This record gives sequence, structure tokens and C-alpha cells, in this order.
Amino acid sequence: MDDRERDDRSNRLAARLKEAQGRRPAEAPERPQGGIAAGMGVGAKVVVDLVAGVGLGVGIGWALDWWLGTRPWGTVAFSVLGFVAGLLNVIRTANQADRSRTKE
Amino acid sequence: MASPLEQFTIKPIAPLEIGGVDVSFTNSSLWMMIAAGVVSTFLIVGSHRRALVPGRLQSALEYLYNIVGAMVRDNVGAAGRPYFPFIFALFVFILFGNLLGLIPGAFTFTSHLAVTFAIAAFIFVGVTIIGIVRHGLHFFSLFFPHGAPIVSAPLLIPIEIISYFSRPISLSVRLFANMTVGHVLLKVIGGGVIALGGFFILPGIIPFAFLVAITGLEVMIAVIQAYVFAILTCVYLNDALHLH
Repeated sequence: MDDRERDDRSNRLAARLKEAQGRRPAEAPERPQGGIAAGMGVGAKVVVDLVAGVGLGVGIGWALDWWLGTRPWGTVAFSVLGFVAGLLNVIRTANQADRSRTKE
Repeated sequence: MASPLEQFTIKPIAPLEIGGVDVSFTNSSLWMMIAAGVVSTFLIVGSHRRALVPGRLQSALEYLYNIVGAMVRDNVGAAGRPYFPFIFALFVFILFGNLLGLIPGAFTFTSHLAVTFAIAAFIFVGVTIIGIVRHGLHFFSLFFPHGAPIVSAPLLIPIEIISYFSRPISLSVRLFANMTVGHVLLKVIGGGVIALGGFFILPGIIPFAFLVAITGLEVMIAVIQAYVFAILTCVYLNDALHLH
């Protein structure tokens, strides 16, 4: 293989590399594994988010009641707030999942 | 027959007590060290040749690096570069913890809430400190979505605060629950195989086939959960760096 041929080949390789790099940003959002795997990931996230919100709300309400002696009003109010917070988490997750799907 | 929960018991290997606190070296610590050791060996051996055309091990390593690199770039942007080493270490440690735990007889340290919550709490506190250092008091605007009418503040702020504080809980419970459930399921179906007479005899072969399929599913879940944990850390970091 003479020098000219080698130059030619490395030039072609450089061109192909450049082309591949130009393609890459468009492919990047697809990264999270598609199909069933991604769906299961989102599903698990949504369930736990909802439960964590309610759990934390009830916990805070319970602690406030114990501290301020306002039983049962703190638990009542904060379990509702916690449920809303959990729902908020779920909506945010869903929006995020939607956005990454439309980007593909 | 052994209880399906027996696999989660912490057994001290080298009992040790400092100031009345039990700090024994346990099977959990052992498997954390094994995970860290396997990861370090993989990274050091894989990268020591620094070949222009990578071999098998180096390819795997570069692939792993690219996944985490893309994750940080897509979710945090350029401001996330300084935190790449942390995210990478986190992802790889959890990934290997999950995968090594699938080896029969191994201990899965990610199936303990104490472990996952310690990691999640560290991330939560760290991200909050980063946010406050970056933005000062302006960081607390995270708790009030802009554009909302000011009258709604007494209702919205508690909700946003609960939502914020539920992050470490959901982060840790998700990983812990997935790992625990998977391992219990494997043990229960494994018990079914034995109860029905063994691997290759007719009734026993049915749960055994399930066991094989579920082991594959568990490998997938191990990878997904490590990925989800790391990606959520990126999302939280992004919130702290850029607010909303």
C-alpha cells in the first residue's frame, strides 16, 4: 500500500467519522432502552412516586399531630396534600415520558 | 424449606463495636467490597492498554462510559460535566451490586432499604446544597411554580415541599422494592421446583422454565433500575443547577 492510497483511505475514514458524528445528536434521545423495558421503568417509577407522596404526607401529618396535639386534623390535611404531591410527581413523570417519546 | 426472606439476613463476618454502635463487617459490606473490586478491576484492566482500536473489554468500558456520558449530557447539559464522575461511580456501583446479587448464593446489598436510602439521602442532601450554593435564597423558588397566582401559595408550597422531600423516599424505595421482590420471586418459584420433584421431571420442569425466564427478566430489571437511579439523580441535579 503506497502513501497516496493510505492518505486517500484515511481521508475517507475522516469523512465517514464526521458524517457519523453529525448523525449522532439526532439519535441521542433514543438512548433510553425502548419498548417494554422503558415502559416498565416508567411504570415502576409512577407507582412508587404516588405511594411515596402519600406516605410522606401521612408521616408529616402524623408527626405534626403528635407534636402539636391536633389529632386528627394534621393527618387528614397532610394525607390529602401528600396525595396531591404524589399526583404531581406522576404528572411530571408522564409529561417527561411524553416529551422523550415525541423527540424520537 | 428455607424461608424466601432468609436470603436477606445480615450476617456479621467480623463482629466489631465502637462506642456501643454495631459496626461489624457483614456479608453486606463484603458484597459491597466485591462490587467495588470487580468494578475497579474491570475499569483498570479495560483501560490500561488505551488502544486506538479497542479490544473487547475496552469496548465494553467505552460503551458504559458513553451511556453515562449521554445520560448526563441529555439530562443536565454542559453544567453537569463536573458531576460526571459521581454519576458514573453511582451507576456502576448499583449496576454491579444488582447483577452480582443474581449469582446464586450471593448477597444483594441493594435489596436493603438501609443501603439504598443512605445513597438516596446523600444525593438529596448533596443536590440541595449544590442548589443553595449556586442560587442562594433564589433556590427556594423551586417550591413555587412561576406563573401561579400568589393566592394559591399557601396550598402550593406545602405540596411542592412534600413532593421535593418525597424524592429520596421514592428513589430508594424503588430500587429496594424491585430487588427484594425479584429475589423473593426467584426463591418462591425455586421452592416450587423442589416441591414438584426437581429440574427435569415433568411437574417440576414447568416452574423451572419459569425460573429461567424470570432470571432473564431479573437481569433486565437489575440494569433498568441502576439506569433509573442514575437518570433520576441527573434530573434532580438538573433541577438544582437550572431551577425549573
